[in-house]
Amino acid sequence: MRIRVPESIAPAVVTVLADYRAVKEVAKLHLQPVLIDPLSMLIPACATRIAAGFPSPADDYLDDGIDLNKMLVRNGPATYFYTIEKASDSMNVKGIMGGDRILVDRSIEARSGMIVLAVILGEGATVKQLEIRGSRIRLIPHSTNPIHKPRTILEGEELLIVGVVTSSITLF
Amino acid sequence: MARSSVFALVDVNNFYVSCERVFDWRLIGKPVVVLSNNDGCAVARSNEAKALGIKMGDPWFQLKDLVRDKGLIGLSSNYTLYGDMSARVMKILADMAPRQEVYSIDESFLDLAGIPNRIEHGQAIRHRVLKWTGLPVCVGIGSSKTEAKLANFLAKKRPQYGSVCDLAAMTDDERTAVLESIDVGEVWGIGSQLTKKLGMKGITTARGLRDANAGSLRQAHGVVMERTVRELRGDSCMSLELIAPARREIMCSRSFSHDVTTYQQLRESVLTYVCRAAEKLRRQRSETAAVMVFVQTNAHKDVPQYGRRAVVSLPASTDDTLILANAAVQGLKTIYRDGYRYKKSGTMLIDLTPKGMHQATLFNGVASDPKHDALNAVMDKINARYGRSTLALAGAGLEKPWKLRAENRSPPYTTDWNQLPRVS
Repeated sequence: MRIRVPESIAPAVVTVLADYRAVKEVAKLHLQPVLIDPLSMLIPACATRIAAGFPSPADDYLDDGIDLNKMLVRNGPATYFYTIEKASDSMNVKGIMGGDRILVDRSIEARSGMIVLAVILGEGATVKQLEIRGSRIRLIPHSTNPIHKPRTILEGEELLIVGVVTSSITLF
Repeated sequence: MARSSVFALVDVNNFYVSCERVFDWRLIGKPVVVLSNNDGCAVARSNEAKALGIKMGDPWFQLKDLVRDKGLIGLSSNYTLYGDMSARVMKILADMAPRQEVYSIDESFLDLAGIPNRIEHGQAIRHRVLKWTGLPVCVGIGSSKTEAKLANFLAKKRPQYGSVCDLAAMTDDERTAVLESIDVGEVWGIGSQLTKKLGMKGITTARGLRDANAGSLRQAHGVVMERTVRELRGDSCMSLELIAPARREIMCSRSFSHDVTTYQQLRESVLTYVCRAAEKLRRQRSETAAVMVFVQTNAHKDVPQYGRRAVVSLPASTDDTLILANAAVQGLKTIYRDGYRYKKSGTMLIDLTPKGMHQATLFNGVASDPKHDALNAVMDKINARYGRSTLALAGAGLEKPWKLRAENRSPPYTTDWNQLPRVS
């Protein structure tokens, strides 16, 4: 069969025909003889489960169950997970162990006494207790290892409080 | 003029770079670019990188001197991270306005009608997003979407606005003076071609466009242009699109790191993409009735050109990786031709329906094989837990020499239990 089309749309028509042929080719490949198995025709007319008999007396007492997210995450979009470096023991007295996953809530306003994730620009990120006395800011470790000392933020140093640490998860 | 609507456009400054900086503090204050797929060219720039004269789309290989001389850092794009951070921003914005339209990965329109002290509210939005995510945003407010877009441009480019600009709150004289100072090419929908054409008519500023004759512009450039003019006058012609249309298809496609010439490698790529697409399909609890496969040579190179696609219809809708992979390979077989240098392949799942809605077919009995369902479920679970492609079809290849380059990609900090950012 021959058809005439305007020259300007000829390439488009050729492409469409090529696609059409490709589809047909594939369809050919795909159509395999099918054995009709009478048994498989016996599909239940109504496949949805119908509740019968008495309702369970426990239905009334069903609850949502325990969801750790609900307990640990107070504000989803502002909550982030971090991993404590394996070797880190600077906060072990507070129960934050190397390898723990901590949750940091950025939306909480950090106040003196809170455990925070802080970055001293140029040094790196660290979890410590924040202490603010007047204009003096310190990051306090709580460790059985005496090597860790409070770190005073000096003038000219930039301290970034990422957020407040709200929990630490230790997997045994 | 009826100025009854109020829209805000909120967008994240240098979104991709800003996301990277939230989790890598060493990037703060440094010139950083994020590169397109395959580490091809710059698609996001920090202000420091912009100051070095780097433009959007600059090829990475041309920037190597700046790496050496100016400490420029180039990062591969990390869409897993950007997607998660985007979701956080959108969630925060949704709570700060009665209605929201998510416009792109880093932009959202908000309906601010009825909200008093809009500038203050804009500042509150800015502060909350910055505090909760670490991402800086700008807020533009106007009586139409086009005006909000323009206000956002002002908020971003002119420091006197403090990152929040409300065009709707200005007096007519103020607004006219501001629009006079903006090139017409900055108006939403006015690209470089239109800018040229309007320039020939003597329209070079946003004000010029606003005050032009809408009727004659409509005759010359169509109804969209007329709408833009009306929107610039504060007359809202486009409302918020509140519900993102349900995805009717899922596409998975990439360019190769280098030309692929063998069927074997092309097959690997197609299988990789179809697995990924099937995973997405199951995540949104849909099924597909047809798979499209396509291959393409590099149109920018002087080599013999070839590109074809094939659609394979399935006897019944399915979300089974094995069936979809089979169909994709059948499709590839019909369109593969020897002797070409292929640049790209891809698969697209079309004709999606919610899972479990389809009819069992006459010949097929129940369409899904419970064994396959179990296998797919296990595969998804393992890959969710241990990372993408931990468990995949062997046919998708192990080495994947065609896989695109992403030499300097940051980890998915917020979505992978094993790759969380480390702190001491």
